[in-house]
Amino acid sequence: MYFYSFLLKGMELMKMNLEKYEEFPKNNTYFNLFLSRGMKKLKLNSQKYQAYIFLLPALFFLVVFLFTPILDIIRNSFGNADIINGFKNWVGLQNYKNLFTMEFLGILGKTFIWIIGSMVPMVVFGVIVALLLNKPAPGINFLRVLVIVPWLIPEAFAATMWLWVTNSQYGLINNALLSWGIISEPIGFLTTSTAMLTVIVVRIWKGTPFIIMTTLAALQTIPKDVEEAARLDGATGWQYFRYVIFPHLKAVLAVSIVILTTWTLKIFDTIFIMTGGGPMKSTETISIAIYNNAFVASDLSKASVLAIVTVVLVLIVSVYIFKKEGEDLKL
Amino acid sequence: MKKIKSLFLFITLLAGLIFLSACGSDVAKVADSDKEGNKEGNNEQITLKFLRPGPAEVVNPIFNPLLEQFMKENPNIKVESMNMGFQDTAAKYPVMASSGTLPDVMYATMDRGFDLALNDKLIPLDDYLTNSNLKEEIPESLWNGITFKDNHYWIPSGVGSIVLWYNKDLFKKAGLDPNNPPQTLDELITVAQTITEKTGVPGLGLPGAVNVDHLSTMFQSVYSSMSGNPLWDSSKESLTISLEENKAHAIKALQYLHDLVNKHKVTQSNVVEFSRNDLRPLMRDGKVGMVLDGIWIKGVIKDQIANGSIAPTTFPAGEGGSHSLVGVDGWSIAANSKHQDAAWKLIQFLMKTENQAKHGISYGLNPVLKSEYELPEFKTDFWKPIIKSEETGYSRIAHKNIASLETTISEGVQAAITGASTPEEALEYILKETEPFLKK
Repeated sequence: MYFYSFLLKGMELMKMNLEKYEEFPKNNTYFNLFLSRGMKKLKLNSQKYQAYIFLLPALFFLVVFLFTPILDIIRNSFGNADIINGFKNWVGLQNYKNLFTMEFLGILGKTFIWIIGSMVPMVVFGVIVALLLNKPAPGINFLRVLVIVPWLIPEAFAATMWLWVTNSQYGLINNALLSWGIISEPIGFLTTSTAMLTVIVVRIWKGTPFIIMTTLAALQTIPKDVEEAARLDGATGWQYFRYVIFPHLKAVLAVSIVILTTWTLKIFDTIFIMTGGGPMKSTETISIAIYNNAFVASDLSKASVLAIVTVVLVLIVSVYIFKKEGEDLKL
Repeated sequence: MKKIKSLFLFITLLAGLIFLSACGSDVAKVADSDKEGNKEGNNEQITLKFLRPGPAEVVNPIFNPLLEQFMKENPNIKVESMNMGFQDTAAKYPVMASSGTLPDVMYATMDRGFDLALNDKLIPLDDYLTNSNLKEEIPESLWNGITFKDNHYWIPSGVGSIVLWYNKDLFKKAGLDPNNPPQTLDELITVAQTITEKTGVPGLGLPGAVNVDHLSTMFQSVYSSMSGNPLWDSSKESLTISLEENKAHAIKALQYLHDLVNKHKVTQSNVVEFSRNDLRPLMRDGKVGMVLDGIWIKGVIKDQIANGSIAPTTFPAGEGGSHSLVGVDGWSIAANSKHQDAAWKLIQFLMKTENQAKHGISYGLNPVLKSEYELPEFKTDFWKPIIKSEETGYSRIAHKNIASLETTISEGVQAAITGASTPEEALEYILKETEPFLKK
């Protein structure tokens, strides 16, 4: 509680340039009172530095709990480290040589397919469904709740459920298709050639509701008079979407795409439970490779290099999308 | 001047924080030293942490009464039991070891045990064993499987060996003698073909997924039965398939597994989707005629075992005999334990014949103690092939990188059974890709 009020006060002081510094102890905790009196006694009147002092505890915890693990990953990537002993010694850039192997390029390629294959349909379907759900219709609120259900289901549970649905021997889909006589042999949804497509479909099913929710929220902020003006000007359906709706959605979509891309890149449980990265490593994305290196091969160094690549990939995507969005807004 | 004062205040605040943290550490140290004091005292209360991974609903009913009894017999020892999923041990054991928080008495798995032992996170139990009858009570073959750097780091308690489970009803339906299951690898093909043709049910369930060691297990069992050799040479710390004289056997084993799927077509479709666990419900439901699995399957097919419709037989023999793979997990003492003598006391209690039998029967494990073999429960026809396979089987790879080695072997085998590689190429892949893990 003290920490929280301390942090708030620091932020307030930074923001308001400490104009009301003399007043704040009156309506604050005993701790703040004590501190402010201490400051007065020390004749620390420089408002600028006081603000920083108030922020220091927060920064301290931020550094300890947020940046220490990241620094540890960076250190491990330049060293020899395993899961039991942690960092052992420095090896320079030796671990980064793994980035120039066919094995890593394969992982990167599969990760790229996983992201593009998931993201494009998620955004397209998400926007289409959001547009449909934005229309007034009986039971529309129920439908709006219904479409977000997949998003609410935990990843591990969803993956297990889909594993049962797609199983060759006792899966719902194969059993239905076999009993209806549509197929004579069960379809292998998780074979070398089909596993990636199957996990992508599961990802689309799981991730699309997020786009639906954010897009729907953005659609509801479009003023009715703009819509009416467009109609009066004779805008066609596509023109209305392209020049009225889409500009309103762009900012929300940019943020949603960055968030969803980051999530998709980090997805581990769906693939691990459904395929374990196989068969024949056909679904071994970067997150699976990190797990395998860290916990199967006990090679923290290689896993750390892959983790850093993940961070860099996310940063590239984020910077590109936000930059593009910024340029569009300027225009 | 103001800057200096601000800096002074900052340092004061930071020092305050460090001081508070240090106070916390001191309190912990005082508490620890108290514990140390307790250790030295004979009748002082001590607390042991205990971990047997597995589903809580299975583990707790077995061990809670046992631990209660132990605490009653040893009023100065309190045992706190922890729960952990079996699959979680691969990730959690190393993390606990790294932070010095491994439980005093823990169930070491082959997947992690050697790595922990090599890094001095488990203590060798050989000194304790010199004053115990456990060395004689447990078959030599099981001790050999877990001998690591001339020491033993856990006491065999969780043992399982691969045997052939067959569905007698499907045998009858296919016109086969339900009391005459296949005894050789060639007969396995013939019988599986008959079941497939006559009943429309796949004759053999084969685990083809890589994410667990199950595919590697199949290969090791077939290879050892064909060659008569174990896959792992503990004296040279190498794979025997790397020797020229054994390569032909390895290729033959890979070819055999490939043919089961592609030539004879006696397995379930899309084998790469299935782990050993996935095949168990199929066996229970009569959707495959036979599976190669350990006693761990018992939990899923207990009703069928009880009514006699599913029974085990020894792993089908090849030219080198019947040598299926044996997994040997067991009780170990963490190096970070402050109460190692008390931990050993608990292990000895758990390894008493009746307690080990309760553990094995309830969880689904092979009998381990020679005195267990004499119990009426294990004198039945059901247990005979299982006990025999334990005696003739070969243990898993005793290397700190066992998980990586078995995963790599599984990848090679998967390439062979899917036809992505020829058996020769698959063997080459296995030898090349396992080399760095063997050297590490």
